[in-house]
Amino acid sequence: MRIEQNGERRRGRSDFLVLLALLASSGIFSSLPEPHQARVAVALRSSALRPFLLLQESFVERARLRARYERLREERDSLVREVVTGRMTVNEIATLRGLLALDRRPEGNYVPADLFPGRPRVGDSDVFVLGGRGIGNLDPPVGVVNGDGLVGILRGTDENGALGAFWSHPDFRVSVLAAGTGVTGIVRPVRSEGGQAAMLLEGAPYQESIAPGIELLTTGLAGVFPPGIRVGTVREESDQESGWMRRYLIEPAVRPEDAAAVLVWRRPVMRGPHGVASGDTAVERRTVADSDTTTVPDA
Amino acid sequence: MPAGRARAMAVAVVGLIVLHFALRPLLIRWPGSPDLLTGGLLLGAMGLRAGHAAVFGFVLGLMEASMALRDMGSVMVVYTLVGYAAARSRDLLFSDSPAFLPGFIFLGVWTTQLAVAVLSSQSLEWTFVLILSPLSAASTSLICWFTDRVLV
Repeated sequence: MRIEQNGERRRGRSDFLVLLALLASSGIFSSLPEPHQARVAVALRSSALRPFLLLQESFVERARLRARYERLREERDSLVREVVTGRMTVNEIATLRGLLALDRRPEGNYVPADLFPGRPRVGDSDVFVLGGRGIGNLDPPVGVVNGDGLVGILRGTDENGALGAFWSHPDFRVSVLAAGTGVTGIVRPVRSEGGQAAMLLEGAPYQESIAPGIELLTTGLAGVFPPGIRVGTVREESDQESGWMRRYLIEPAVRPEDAAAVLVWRRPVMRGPHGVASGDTAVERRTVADSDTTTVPDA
Repeated sequence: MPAGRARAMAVAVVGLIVLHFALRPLLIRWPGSPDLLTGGLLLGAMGLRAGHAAVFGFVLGLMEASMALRDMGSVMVVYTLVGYAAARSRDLLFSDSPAFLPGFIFLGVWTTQLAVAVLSSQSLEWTFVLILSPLSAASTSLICWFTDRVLV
């Protein structure tokens, strides 16, 4: 009995010594500089804890994919709603035009293309090259868009592809309409203090103000850009003086760095009064060029 | 403890620890989610000598701190002490009452979480001390009780 008690006491003492040793180790460990502590943690994470970390990564990836799937589904649902509403409107318009004995309004179509920024002049972030089937047959200048809005303008084509400029190019101008307000103006690029391109709406009438968040859509006035394409949203009124006009800073709908797959507008071919095809001919291009002094006109 | 039951308990403890590390991203989303690591430590320590339980706690503390990448020393100290204290208190408090194990785990988890929070110099909010931590301790004790009764 006494031997057993002694053994128990000895065991208790050795357990206590083990505890003290472990606590001392923990204390020494916590007094180590952080890089040394991190080295131990990294060693454990890349060995014993590696399977758990891989499993956790798969959980996180799965959650991210799930969220992305939900977002895409919502986007698809809203697109379906818009398409259904749009189709009804198109049908109504067609019916009304039929009643007025008017032909269907030609709207043109779009040619898909791949956009390669910074080409052909490497280092110029305002220009791009387009590649894709049917690109060489287009007649510039013509608008380049993607699902989010206006990307830029196509300037020239040859059999190998096409050259274009983003909206951030200093010569870029586009005529816009503030959605739901009837206010029109011209949008041009500006450089912010950080050097990033932004948009400025000029020529908006002084007596009417545009609230932040309002969308700006192309008017399609000169036939270079299709009408109704998103250009950006109004961020705030600019404090720069501009006489009896207002200026607004615009949040672009498309950042040049986000554009990769784009659509190039193929404007509808229409017959003029003397049987001259307007829109895609040299006559039309010359007329457009003569009507505006800017390099890329749309106003 | 009979050898068969000890083996089953060891498997259950390892299972709880593996589940803790595997399900961590899912568990931390829910307030009051079970603390399976501390539950596993307490269950395991009940079947070990105090010195071994302290080593067990030290290793688990090191793993937990390596996963969280913060407060490594304090987490290791707390888990070492919890392992040792759980093994010692079993000798002092052991009872055949069915309420013993859930109560033991509840108090152990609650104390451990408070100790980690204090030693990690986190600001202790009353919602954590009085609601979230007890909730976590209660869910942990429920799982450990279930493990002990049904699986072991």
